[in-house]
Amino acid sequence: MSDDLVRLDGVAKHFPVGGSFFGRTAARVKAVDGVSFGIREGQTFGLVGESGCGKSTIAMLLVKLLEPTAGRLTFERADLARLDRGAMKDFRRRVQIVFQDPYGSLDPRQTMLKALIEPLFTLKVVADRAAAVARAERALEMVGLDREVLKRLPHELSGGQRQRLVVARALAVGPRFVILDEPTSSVDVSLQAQILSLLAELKRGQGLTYLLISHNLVVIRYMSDVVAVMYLGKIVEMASSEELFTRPLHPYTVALISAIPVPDPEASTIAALAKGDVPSPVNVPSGCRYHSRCPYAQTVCREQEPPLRELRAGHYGACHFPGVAASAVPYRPES
Amino acid sequence: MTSATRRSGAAATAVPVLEISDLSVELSIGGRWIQALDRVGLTIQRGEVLGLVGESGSGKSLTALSIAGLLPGNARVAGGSIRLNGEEVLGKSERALNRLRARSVALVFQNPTSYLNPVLTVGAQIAEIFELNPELLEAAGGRPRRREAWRQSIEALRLVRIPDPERVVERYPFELSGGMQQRVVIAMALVRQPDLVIADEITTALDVTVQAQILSLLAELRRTVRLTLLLITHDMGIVAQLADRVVVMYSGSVVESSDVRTLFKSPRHPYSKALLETVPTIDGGRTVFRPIRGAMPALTDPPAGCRFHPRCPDAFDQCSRRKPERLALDPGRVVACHLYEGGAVSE
Repeated sequence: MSDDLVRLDGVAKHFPVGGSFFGRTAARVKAVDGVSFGIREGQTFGLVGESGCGKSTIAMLLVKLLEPTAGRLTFERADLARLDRGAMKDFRRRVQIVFQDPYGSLDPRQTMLKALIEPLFTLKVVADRAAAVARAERALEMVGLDREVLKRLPHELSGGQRQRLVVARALAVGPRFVILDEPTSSVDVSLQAQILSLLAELKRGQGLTYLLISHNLVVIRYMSDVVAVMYLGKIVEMASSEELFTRPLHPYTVALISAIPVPDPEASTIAALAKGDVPSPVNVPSGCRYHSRCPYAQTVCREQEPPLRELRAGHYGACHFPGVAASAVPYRPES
Repeated sequence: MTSATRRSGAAATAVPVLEISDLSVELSIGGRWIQALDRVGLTIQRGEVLGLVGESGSGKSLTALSIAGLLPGNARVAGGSIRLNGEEVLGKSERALNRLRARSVALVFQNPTSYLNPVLTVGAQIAEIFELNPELLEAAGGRPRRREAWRQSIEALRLVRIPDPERVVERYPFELSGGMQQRVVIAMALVRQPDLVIADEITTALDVTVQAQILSLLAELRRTVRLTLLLITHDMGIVAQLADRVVVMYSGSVVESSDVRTLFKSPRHPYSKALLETVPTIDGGRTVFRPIRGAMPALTDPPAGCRFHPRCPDAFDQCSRRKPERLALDPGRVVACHLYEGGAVSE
C-alpha cells in the first residue's frame, strides 16, 4: 500500500554456509525467504518467532547492515538499494535500532555523555557541543534517567538504566521509525514492564513507528497493532494483534500461544503442541516448513508449500488446513 | 524448624527433604563483607515442588548454591542451617560434600552446553556417573557392569522422552539441539536418584515451544518418579503451573512463603502483589501489567529497615526504621511485612 512508511516486497536473504577453500559453497541458509509486509505510520508492527526464524535478519536488512539477496525494501517510498549519499545520511537519522543487549551496544570505555552525543555529530543532527549536550539531556529526560548518568561508564549502570540509555541514544537523533530487537529480553520482569510502558509512551509522545521483534508473545501482544508470525524464514500468519491472538488460524501460532505458562494455578495449561525442535534453516523441510512439528500434518503438507493467503478479512495465513488447531486455542474469543 | 513451617500441614511430621533455616551468607565485594542472604528459611517435603521466585539479585541462586556446597570463593556462610533429610550440610568436609552432591542433590542450570562435556558422547557421560557411583548399578544382576551402565543410560534418556534414545546415546552434545541437551542434563540428574533436584532457570535459554515440552516433562516426572524439586525461576507462569508451594525472595530475604493457590489468589506482601501484577497475560482482552517503580537496591548499599520500602506503595514510617519480622499469618503462610504486625491483618 502506498501509505506504508516501511515496505518489504518479496525480500529474501540467503547466506552461504560451509563450502570448501576453493569457492563452491555447500549450502545456503535461507534466513529470510520471500517476506512481504508493510508498516503504516504510527503503527507498532510485531514480528514474532523462535530462534532461526529470520526476524533479526529482517531488522539488519531494514537498517542496511545487510543487503537483500532478492526483493525490495522501501522507507518513505524510497528504495533502500538506491539511496544516494545525502539520502543515506538522512535515512540513518530517521531509522534507528535498539538491540537486545544494551551492554554490547555500548563502548565499555565511553562515558554515557559521549555515547549519546557521538551519533549526533556523525549524523550532523547538531552543529556544536552545547546543542549536542542539550539534546542528550532532553533524551535522558524522555527515558526517565537522571543527567547524573552522563559521567558514568556502562558497567556503572544497572541493566534497566543501560536499556533506557540505548533507547535515549536512538531517540536523540530524532528518528521516525525505530526497530526494537528484543528490547526487554535482558532485563528482569519488573523492569520489563517499566521499559515496555516507557516505549509505548515514547511512541505516542514522539509520534514514532515501531517494528518490534521478539520471541515473547506476551510482549508482542502488549505492544503491537499488527503481528506477523515467522517460521524458518517465512511469514506463516499475519493479522491485527487482537485477531491473531483470539482467532489464530495457523497451528504454529496456536502452539506458540498455548506454550505460554499461564500465571494461574487453577488453570492447567502447559501444552506442548509443537513436536521436536525447530529444524536447521539449512535443511528446510519440504512442503509446508512446519509440517515436521505439526501434529495435524497430512500428506499434502509434506508435498506442497501452502501460500500465504487472506483467510479472513485482513487475516493472512499459510496453512493447508487453517483453523485445524482451533480447539487447542487456550482462550476462546467469546468466553 | 521454625514455628511457621511446622504448621504447614500433616506432612510436617516426616523429616523434610530440605530444611533451610536462618541461612545468612555474606559476599566479599571491594574488600568488605556484605550481607547477600539474610536469615533465609524454606522447607521442601518429599515429592513436593517448591517454586523459588524473585528478580535477579534476590538471592535465589545463592540459596541454591549453598545447598550444594557450591558457594563461590568470595562467599561465606555467616549463620543458619541447611539440613538434607535431617542431616546438617553446613560445615561438612569437601569429601562428605562430594558424596552429597553425587547422591542427594542434583543441580540443573540454565545453559546445558556448559554442563556437558563436548568431547564425550551422551552415553559416555551418563555411564561415567555409574562408574563413579557403582552402587547405582546394584540391580545389575550378573550382567557386565559396562553393558548395564550403557543400558541404563538409554533408559534414562527414554525417561526424559528423548526420541530414539538408542541413537542419541551415541551422539555428541553439539549434535543435539538446546532442548535435547537440556533433557540429557535432566536425565543425568535423575540417574543418581537424588532426593532433591534443583532446577535453576532451566528453560530460560530455550525457545517457547521447547520450553513447553520441558515443562510438561517436569510435570510428568513429578507424577512418575515423584520428583522433589526446588524450581528457581523468574517466571510466575511456570511457578503457577508446576509448584505446590512458593517462596518469594527480595534482596536476600524471604518476603513471603505460601502454597501456590493461596499466593496467586491473595498475595499478602506488597512485593508479591507487585510481582504478580508485572506478569502480563494474554487473554481475549488487552494484555495488562503494572510495572514496579524503581529498581532492586544494590547489595552494597541496602536501604535501612525493610529492603522493599523505597519501592513499596504501602510503606509507612515503621518500614524505613526496622526490619520486619516473619509472621505466620495463616496455616502455611509466612510474610515479612510491617503491615501485618500486631494482627492488623487487612483483607
